Amino acid sequence: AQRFNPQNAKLRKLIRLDVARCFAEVPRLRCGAARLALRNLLEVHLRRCEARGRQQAYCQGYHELAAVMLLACMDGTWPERQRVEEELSKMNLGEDDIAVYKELCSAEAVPADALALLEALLYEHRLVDMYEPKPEGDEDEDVVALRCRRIITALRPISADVADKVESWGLSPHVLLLRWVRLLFLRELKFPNDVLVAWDAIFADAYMINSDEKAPAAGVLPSSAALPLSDDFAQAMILAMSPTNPEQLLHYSDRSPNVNQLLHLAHQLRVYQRNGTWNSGNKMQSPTPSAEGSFPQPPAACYPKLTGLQKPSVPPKEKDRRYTMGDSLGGEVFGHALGWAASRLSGALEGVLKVERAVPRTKDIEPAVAPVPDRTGRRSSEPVRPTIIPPSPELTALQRPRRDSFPAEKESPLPSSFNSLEGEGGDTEAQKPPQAPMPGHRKPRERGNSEETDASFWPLSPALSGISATSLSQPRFKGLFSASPLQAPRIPHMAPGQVDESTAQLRSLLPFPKASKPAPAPVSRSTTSTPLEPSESEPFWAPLPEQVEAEKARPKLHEPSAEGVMKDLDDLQAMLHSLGQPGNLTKAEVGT
Amino acid sequence: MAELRTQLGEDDDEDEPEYVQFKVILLGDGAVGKTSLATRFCEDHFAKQYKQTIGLDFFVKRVVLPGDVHVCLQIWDIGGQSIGGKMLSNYIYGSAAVVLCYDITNYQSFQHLEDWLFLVKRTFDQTPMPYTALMGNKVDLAHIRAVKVEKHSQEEGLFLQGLHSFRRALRCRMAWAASLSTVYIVICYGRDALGSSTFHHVAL
Repeated sequence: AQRFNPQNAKLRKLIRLDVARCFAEVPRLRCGAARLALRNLLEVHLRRCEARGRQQAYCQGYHELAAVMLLACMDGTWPERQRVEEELSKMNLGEDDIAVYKELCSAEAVPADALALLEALLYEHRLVDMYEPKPEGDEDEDVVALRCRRIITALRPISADVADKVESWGLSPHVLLLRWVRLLFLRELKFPNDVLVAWDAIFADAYMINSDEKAPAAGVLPSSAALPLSDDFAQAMILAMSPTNPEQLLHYSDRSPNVNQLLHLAHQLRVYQRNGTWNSGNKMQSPTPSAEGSFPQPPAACYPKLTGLQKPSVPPKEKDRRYTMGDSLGGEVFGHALGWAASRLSGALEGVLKVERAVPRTKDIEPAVAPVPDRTGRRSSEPVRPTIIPPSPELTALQRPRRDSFPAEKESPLPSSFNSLEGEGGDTEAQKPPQAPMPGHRKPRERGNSEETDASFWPLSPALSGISATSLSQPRFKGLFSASPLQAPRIPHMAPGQVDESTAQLRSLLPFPKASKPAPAPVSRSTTSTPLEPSESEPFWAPLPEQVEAEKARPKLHEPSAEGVMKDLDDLQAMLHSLGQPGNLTKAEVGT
Repeated sequence: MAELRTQLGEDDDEDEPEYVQFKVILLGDGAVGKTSLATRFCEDHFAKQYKQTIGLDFFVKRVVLPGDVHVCLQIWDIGGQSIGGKMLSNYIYGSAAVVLCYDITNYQSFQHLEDWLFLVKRTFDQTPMPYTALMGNKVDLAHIRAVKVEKHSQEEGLFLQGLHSFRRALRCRMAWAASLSTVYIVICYGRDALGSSTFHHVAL
């Protein structure tokens, strides 16, 4: 039973109000399911805060951060259930642990993952400081006001002109920057692509720097130290705009510059502030020489006068291509963050996500020589987006984290393809052909139109495609593959084509209308006359006439009817039987 | 008033007229339509897609009053929900006019105006209060009105008034323009800070 707490009731009402109007311009967050997930997420967060006695359980702004996390998690790549089970069975774990890992790897737990990420962002990365008001009567400034002030103050040694200009308005810094630091530039950059690129860089940078376990320099605010690149990024944003009036900063999104350039500049600013000099290429203090040359340094003329940076004009219309969190960094840092956050949530995450490492890691080691063919099989018509992410020095210098606190990597050796890269650089990788998309696993998200369902990708009958795409052990039809609660009918090893009483019994369990007439003539699988679920059985490309003819000429096996499914099942049975693996479908009965 | 007299725009531009700058703040509960009010006034559009104001937003409207007086109104649109008390005082400080907004379909938002007014009074503790206007938003939803017009007009004498819907663009633009004009005319004349000799009396 939940304790009644008037404060929380108020917050819950606020959450409902906020969620109902959150990201109305993003269709995938506007739909009811996403709204519901978001609301549940925030309410669970509320309860967790209550249980831990945390203040500031909900503030306006959390909901947008949570929505981004939810979107990122929904776009995540999930290992197949079967594969997860294989991996887990290799790992010698207890029963209880297995359940936890299975949940961590399942797409159904997306809201939970998003919650873990939100809490990591708020509490590990100290974004919550930005929302916390000082208690009444405390003379000190709010932390957020202090941080904004420091960001502006730090501008002076970089560009006195801009600093003068900003100070001449006589506005307190938090008037200008409060939203920036509270929402981590969410409103200032284009959503979702630019925001996620920036977040990727900021989180990756924090991950690299904070895994160093050096104590932050004295006097640095904890919230600045937790996301070290964000302050530099804010300064870079101001400098790139070189604003003439305050509205330009407050309505930054009207003409926000290229996010890659901003990140580049932010990185330059950090080096400058650390070394007291602009990085002209030879002053770079890199831990290993391998960093030299792997990323192109900007021409010295770019800085500090910023002449190289184009003033943003009207932003070009972007093609509708979704950006997955982590794309620009090889897709894997996000996985790290997820695993890391999840491990905080429910104990150590071990190795379940690690298999993903080998493929994406290669990408960010390759220097920006040429547009790298995307691993997900980009369509040729789409523009290749250059990924010139300015990496933090640590990212360039080391090709993997120095001290990796991610539990999956402490014991398990790195995949061999990863190790082989360390000596040779990117050459071998560049020669490799682009990887074909793996059906059913890493689904190419570029074809993200929701109309294109998976079924259209699988040229099988819909019923069978569903079965073959997922694991066989997954209960597809209730009572057919699982032993309980429905009594599975006894089926002696069926010969193909044999139809007996038990088959008829089985048929009654199928989610299709029962075939009333005995075995109707199979309907041609052309575009017009599929009786059931016509949109799914229809391929998303239009078949040419000769293809239709060829289709008609072929033996008509896969019909989306009860008969067709039974036949498919019969074939499957026969195949399994011939492989010497009887009873996969009827294990419970055969065993007795 | 001298500190309000700041110059906006390019410094090197000789032709740029000198603007007299005023700070007008919009206060009120969340989702009563403060941002819509500001965008309607400054940018003349109504955004159908709602974005909550985090912290505050900031709009500028430059107006030329008769007598060739260039006025620059800084509209501070203050987020209804997410600001701690101390920072709020910081925002309210130095404002020349306050527009208290409520939603005519939400009685609570009307009741809470008292709290908002209290905040303003506390900020302007010793100093003279800024001009205060009362604004009832969303008049196009009059069929589900929760705050009676009489309630609104009870406050007469304390406030300048306005009842507006920013969704109904045409009609209300006039009303809003008139109301805001009133605000700044009153600011200019009532304060008498700029020397009345430079102004001619304007009848709206």
